[in-house]
Amino acid sequence: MVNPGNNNAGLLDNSRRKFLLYLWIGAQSVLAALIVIPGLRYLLQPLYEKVQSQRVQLGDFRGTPEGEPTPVEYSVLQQAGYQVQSEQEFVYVLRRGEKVTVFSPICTHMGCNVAWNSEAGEFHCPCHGGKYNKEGEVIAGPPPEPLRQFPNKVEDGSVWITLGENKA
Amino acid sequence: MNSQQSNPLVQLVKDFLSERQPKGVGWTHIFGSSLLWLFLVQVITGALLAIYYSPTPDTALASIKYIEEQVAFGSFIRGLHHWASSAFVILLGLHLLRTFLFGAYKKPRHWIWGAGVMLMVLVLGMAFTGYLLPWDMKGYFATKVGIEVGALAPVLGDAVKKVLQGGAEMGIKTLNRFFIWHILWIPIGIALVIGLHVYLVVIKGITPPWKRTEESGEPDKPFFPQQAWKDFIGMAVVTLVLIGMAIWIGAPVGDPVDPNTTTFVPRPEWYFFPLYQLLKIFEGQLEVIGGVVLPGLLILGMLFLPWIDRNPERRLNRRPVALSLGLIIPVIIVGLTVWGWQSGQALESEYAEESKESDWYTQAEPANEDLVDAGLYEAYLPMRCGTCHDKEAKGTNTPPSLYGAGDRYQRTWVKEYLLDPHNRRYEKKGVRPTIRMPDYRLSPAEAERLAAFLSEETGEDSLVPNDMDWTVKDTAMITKGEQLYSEYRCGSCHVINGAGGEIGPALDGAGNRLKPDWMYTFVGDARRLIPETPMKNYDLWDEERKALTYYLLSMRETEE
Repeated sequence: MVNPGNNNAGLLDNSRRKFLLYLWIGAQSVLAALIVIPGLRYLLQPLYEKVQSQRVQLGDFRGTPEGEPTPVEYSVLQQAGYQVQSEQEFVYVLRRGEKVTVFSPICTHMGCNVAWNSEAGEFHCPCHGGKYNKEGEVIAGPPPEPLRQFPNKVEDGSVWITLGENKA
Repeated sequence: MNSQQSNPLVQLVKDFLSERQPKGVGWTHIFGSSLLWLFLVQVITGALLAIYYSPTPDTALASIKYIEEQVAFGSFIRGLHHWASSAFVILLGLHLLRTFLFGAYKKPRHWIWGAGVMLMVLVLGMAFTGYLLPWDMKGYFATKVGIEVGALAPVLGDAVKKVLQGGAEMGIKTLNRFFIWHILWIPIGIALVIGLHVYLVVIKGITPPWKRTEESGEPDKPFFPQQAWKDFIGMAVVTLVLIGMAIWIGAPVGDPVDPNTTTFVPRPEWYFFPLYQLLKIFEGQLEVIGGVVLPGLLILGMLFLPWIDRNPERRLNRRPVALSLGLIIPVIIVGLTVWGWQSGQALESEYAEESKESDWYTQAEPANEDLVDAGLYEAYLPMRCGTCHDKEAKGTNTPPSLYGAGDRYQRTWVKEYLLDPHNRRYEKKGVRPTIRMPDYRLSPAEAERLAAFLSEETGEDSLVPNDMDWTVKDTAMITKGEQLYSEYRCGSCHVINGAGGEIGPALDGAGNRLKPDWMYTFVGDARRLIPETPMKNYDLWDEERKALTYYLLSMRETEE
């Protein structure tokens, strides 16, 4: 906008000047984009990192109590950017005869670990009071979905699960 | 022309101090200057904390403990930083409420209000990113919940979560990101918004109370001295309260992170209780309403308030809708805060009961080597523990030999015992009341070092090997162990729950105190571990040893 009485008067008074102004704004934007676009991509790096799937052996399930979800720990290699380290995680294994169900202990509400309460026969979440039954179905509180289950395979008595893209 | 007049900075200060305030400006207008002061306190204390703080999951908590326990005024500086964040939220809330009630958000001051709302969002962002920095249990799980709230955002939820977290899981990248947001990007944003806010206040002037927007207030007295002194008194009260809180309450230091815990009940800082409660109220698929929609609507509603309410009237008695909202919304927020606090308390108590059930033996990680060395050279030797406790030979049991103490005692119990020996094992528990270890009044850090050192004192070939994973609870074995305890009449020498003989030590809390491999050896082969013990060697089957060990392991500590 031209402001008479100001030194800027005449800045846009002809099409050549207008063109040069727009060109100048465009050139400045390109210059900024040369820094901002790589910067944004740099910031969003986690979106482009793929999680490697890992097959994990949980051990001999025949030792776990029948019909009672049992926490079973396993070691998993976790890559966090430049850092690769072995982490201890756990799942709940529910055995019924030869059939095994493996539950993720992560509450589907806000991601806290649920605890198995054997007296109540329920999984309880300490964060917001979510409750699940033995099958992992929501019976009270805010969780929107049942506990996730890991597809598993039993080989020679050992339970195997696959972590990674399908991880709960 | 004198030199003062020629100096533009001095002139600016003079102009500022002599600026005439509209009639009616007074005590209700002191919050802004206190907020500016608190921002400076946060910048200074934060910069000081950053000198010693180390932002990696392995070292963050240790560096916080170092600041708290070793650095001169470390606990004070951290306490100031901690409590100033709460004070900031309170004063900002009061400042916004005052602005709302005075109608000061209306044109031509609408951008001042907008900057204030942006400031509120940035301050909550500071609080959220600051949570995680100690990398303790509360920070870890509160951040996890906060990130999950971000993940509720429609369409972009998963991307928001990954970008906040720095990957698929929480870890070092999360901590690094939160650290840099906390100490650089958000403070820069806050400084810019404060600058804009103050600049606009100077340009547009302070709102005269209870007028229509087109009416300007009659200029009254200059800012200095009356209003300047009122502002100073406000800042002084805030500062003295902060100093008191920093000295007498301090900032909490949580427990190290255990991502697999199922017993910790995470509860947010008080100013996030409304969100915490909303997350509990809206269940199932409605969670997005409590987590994103309602908080989002409140912030957007506040931001666009000057464009929603375009009535130039600022007198409160002529703005019934605004007055109602100005009362109802704060009442709802305070109500949700109290409700969230109460429901969190209830959940914590309920869970404390449950966790007694799920409280089971966990294998501790080996102690850090530096800590072990510090335990020997800075605690065990200077305190002359060896005067009473022999650690080179199995010896007697009164006072106990520390030979193989690492095989025998659980490290966490040793630490707790050293901090409070009389209540842990002597007077309160009624165990060997005639021989008492003095209460050396160790600091938590000293007790931790000594416990770490003792945990590495293992005996050679003392323990009978077994193939058990004691971390897996086996209720059938516990029941069997209880029957055996009765069959072998262990109660004639040992007390459990107040019943039994007092020849041997009470076994209440044995599961927190003794290691299962040691108990497995001792129940069948006691003199292998303590040659002079009056307990005889029982000829037990392997299954019996295991069952008795399980039973003793189930003897959890029931009182503090």
